Amino acid sequence: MRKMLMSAGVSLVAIFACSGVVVAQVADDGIGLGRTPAEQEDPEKWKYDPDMERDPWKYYATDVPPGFPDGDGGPAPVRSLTGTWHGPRASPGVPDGRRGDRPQLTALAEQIRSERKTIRDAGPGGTNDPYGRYCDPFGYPRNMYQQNRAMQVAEMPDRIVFLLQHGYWWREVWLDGRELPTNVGVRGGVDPTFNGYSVGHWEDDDTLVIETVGVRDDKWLSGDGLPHSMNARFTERWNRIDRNTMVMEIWVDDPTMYTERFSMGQSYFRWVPNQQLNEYVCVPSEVQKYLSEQADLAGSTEGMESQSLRTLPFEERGQ
Amino acid sequence: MKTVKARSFAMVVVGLLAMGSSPFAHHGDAAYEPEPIELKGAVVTEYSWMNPHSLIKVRATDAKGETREWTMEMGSTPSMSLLGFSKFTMKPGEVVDVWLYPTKNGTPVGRMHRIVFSDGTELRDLDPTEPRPATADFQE
Repeated sequence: MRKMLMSAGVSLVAIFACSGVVVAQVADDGIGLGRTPAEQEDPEKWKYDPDMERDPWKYYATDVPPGFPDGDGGPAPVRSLTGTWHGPRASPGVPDGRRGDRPQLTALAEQIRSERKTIRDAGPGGTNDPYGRYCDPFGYPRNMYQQNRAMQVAEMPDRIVFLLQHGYWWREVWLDGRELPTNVGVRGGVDPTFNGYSVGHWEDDDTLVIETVGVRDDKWLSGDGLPHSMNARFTERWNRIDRNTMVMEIWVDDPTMYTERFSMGQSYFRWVPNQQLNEYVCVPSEVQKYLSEQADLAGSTEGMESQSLRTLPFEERGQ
Repeated sequence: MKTVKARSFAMVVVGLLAMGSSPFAHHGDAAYEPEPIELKGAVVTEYSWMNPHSLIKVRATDAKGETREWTMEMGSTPSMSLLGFSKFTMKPGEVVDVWLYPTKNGTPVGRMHRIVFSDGTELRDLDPTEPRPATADFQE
């Protein structure tokens, strides 16, 4: 009990005050050194445990890995993100990461941003956020930050796949040595997509670096309504700190919209003990029900024009 | 695994405090009054467990003696799961006492604050006076 309370106390400190520091200290202790082949393989890790006192089909958002927060579950496996992970805001066991930079917008970005009415500013009745009013897919990189409460990662010999809980979206990152496309959005080339085109490489045994281009430019970069152009390039770093913890950060390089490269901030992920996720889908028909029976009746923020679910022209969504 | 369970119990308490974001964090506070009203003996007419926000509808008589059907929103399903709600938390016909933040424009819609069932069980949305955790600018 004493240990449990100690854990809770430490958690309070970690979550409220200096969560990033706590994890950083773990990393600074030299995790990764002294790993044995047996520790890397750990065949028991994947074995179903009938005595787990947990429904194997149920997601326990508040479960945290054994030893948390004063343990790390042991050394990280070499070059692996495979498994099921709690994401930001999913569980009290996931600390908040360092905030993103405040980007410097170009005149074009300022103009586009001024036309976007965020849920935060305008309320659900006044927003023109295509996610807020239509459950439109976030697209990358917004889908790696917003509502990314949990996910799975699967690895194949030539690629790594991120399987996002929210909306059952997935994205693949090729590790086979190919180059990023240079013909996105030109005749005869490849079309921009929600997730763009991604390649990655292991910088060291614990760090995966991913480069992404070719993301649709009608998608919001974030819930703040920030834009990006079709020529934006994203650099994403995953650091497997220990067996139970990893941290992600994405940088945006888009001279059309921002005067300098900036970070969108860190997100931490924690190992899900029973490895089972639940379902989290934003359903278009349900958001229509929500808007027509609740949000539109409640109205928009004072001084903001209300949107209409059925009259917002398609071409204005996300523009 | 017992360790997991024991620690989880402590973490639920700590975590819900730490995650105690305002119910208006997602939508701003402009649409709703800052103080909740009480609807006693409300009859549940519809319960929709859905995203981006679940809805509860009740028929109730307010303090002014007016009987209306109220619609109130809650958080997303994963958020409300953390607070003890599920798809089968209630069903039409149940009598409950409910507190909600009504909209400022007079329409009978609001944001649910807390609900008490006939067996005394109380479930609540998060209180706006609780502290918000530090979050990245790009997360909601």
